[in-house]
Amino acid sequence: MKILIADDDVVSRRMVQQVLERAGYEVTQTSEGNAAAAELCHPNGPRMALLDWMMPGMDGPSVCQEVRRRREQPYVYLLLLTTRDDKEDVVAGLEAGADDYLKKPVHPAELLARLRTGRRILRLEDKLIRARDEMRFKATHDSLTSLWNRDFIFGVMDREIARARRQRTPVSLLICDLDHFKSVNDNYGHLVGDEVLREAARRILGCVRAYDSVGRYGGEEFLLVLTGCNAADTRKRAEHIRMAFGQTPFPTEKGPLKVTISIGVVCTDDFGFLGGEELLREADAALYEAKLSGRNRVGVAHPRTPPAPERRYSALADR
Amino acid sequence: MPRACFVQVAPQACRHQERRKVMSRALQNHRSTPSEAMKRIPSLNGQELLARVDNDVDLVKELTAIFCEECPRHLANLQTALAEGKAASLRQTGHTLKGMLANLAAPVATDLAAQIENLGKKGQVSSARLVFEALKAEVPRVEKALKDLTAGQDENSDR
Repeated sequence: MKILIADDDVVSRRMVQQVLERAGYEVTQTSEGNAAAAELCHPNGPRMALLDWMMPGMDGPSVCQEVRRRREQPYVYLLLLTTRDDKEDVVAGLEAGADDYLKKPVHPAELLARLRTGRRILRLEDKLIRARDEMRFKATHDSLTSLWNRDFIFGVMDREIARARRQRTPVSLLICDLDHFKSVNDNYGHLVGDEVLREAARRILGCVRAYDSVGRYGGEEFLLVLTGCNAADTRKRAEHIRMAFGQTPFPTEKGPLKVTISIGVVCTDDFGFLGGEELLREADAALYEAKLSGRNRVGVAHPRTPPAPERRYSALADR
Repeated sequence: MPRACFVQVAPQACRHQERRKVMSRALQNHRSTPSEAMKRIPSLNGQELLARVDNDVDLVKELTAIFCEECPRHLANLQTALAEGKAASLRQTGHTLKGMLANLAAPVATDLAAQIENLGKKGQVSSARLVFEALKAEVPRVEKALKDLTAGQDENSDR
């Protein structure tokens, strides 16, 4: 466990350092309050600190306030270690955000016991954060493919369309549907079907940029939101995905399977200021066309009436 | 035989009361300087210090070296603060010295540093001069006691 000692008294620092290192702590030190606050607010900074009250730059209570103000998590356990022992000082130190308060000179056994208490609190906090993160993941991800789930990808779609409208940049939606997926389930069983879906998710993710969003839309359908991607690039991207499926068979426990995909594409470049649902309907219609045309192909949605020039994002961006 | 040393003292409560009494008398009566009065009180509680560092004599030696290097700088800061009438600096340096001396289990010097800190806090710079002189006289005794302590321990471990 990494721990920071912030104290302008070098004798005190050395004594405490010795005690802590013998107890297995990894000790870092500073003699100055501002440096202590900066180190503790760093994402990979120490999770525990012993702070002197009076230090050059920023005093101990101010360091506590700064850490509590700037760093939400993970929690940092702060212990004030000082020669000040008025009740008012104790209250002020704790009110500033310290977790504990020890008077110098401190007895090594007591110091270590107090730090063990701190470690228990940190462990409990870590456990709670892990549980919360797991719940958050489950609430937003598809359990089979670990892609965004339907609710979340719809939220992303609405946010990105709103952002694109505000920033006057294009955004594209792709609905991808595995061809003849029902026959995979029927012929090889649902476990192989699951394998195919997981592999499909991996291949799609391998074809998009880190800041694109991919979600599981339905059983064997996936929705992609590509931000800042114009119509021509979106078509290329869709074709890239289609090729990634068709070119190499999917490895499964029942042997390699040839799996193809049909994709419906819509780009705001072609449709202007439409809402998410309307764009999705257009992408869905394009997907339907791709399926009707024989599957394993990309269908592109085209507006029946081209948008007026001022309603096109690219036209707006040119201004 | 281990070297007789003046770090062996009376129980803490008695020591504290006696120390306070002597210092208070000394500081009120200018005929006797505090440094003279405090010669009678041990400058270092060696047993307490050794217990605090888990009997690590090498660490005490290291702390002694740090103290001998750091203390003159702090005393110089105090002298400057007194000369320039800077109460805040008096308080800050008094506080730092108090912590350092308390860690080293040097009770007399700790009390003197605490008094300087308090006088600085109250803005009573001129009243701090006498206490500063007492502290300046006490510091060499602390240094000597620290060195005697580790020398005594080395002799013990040689046997």
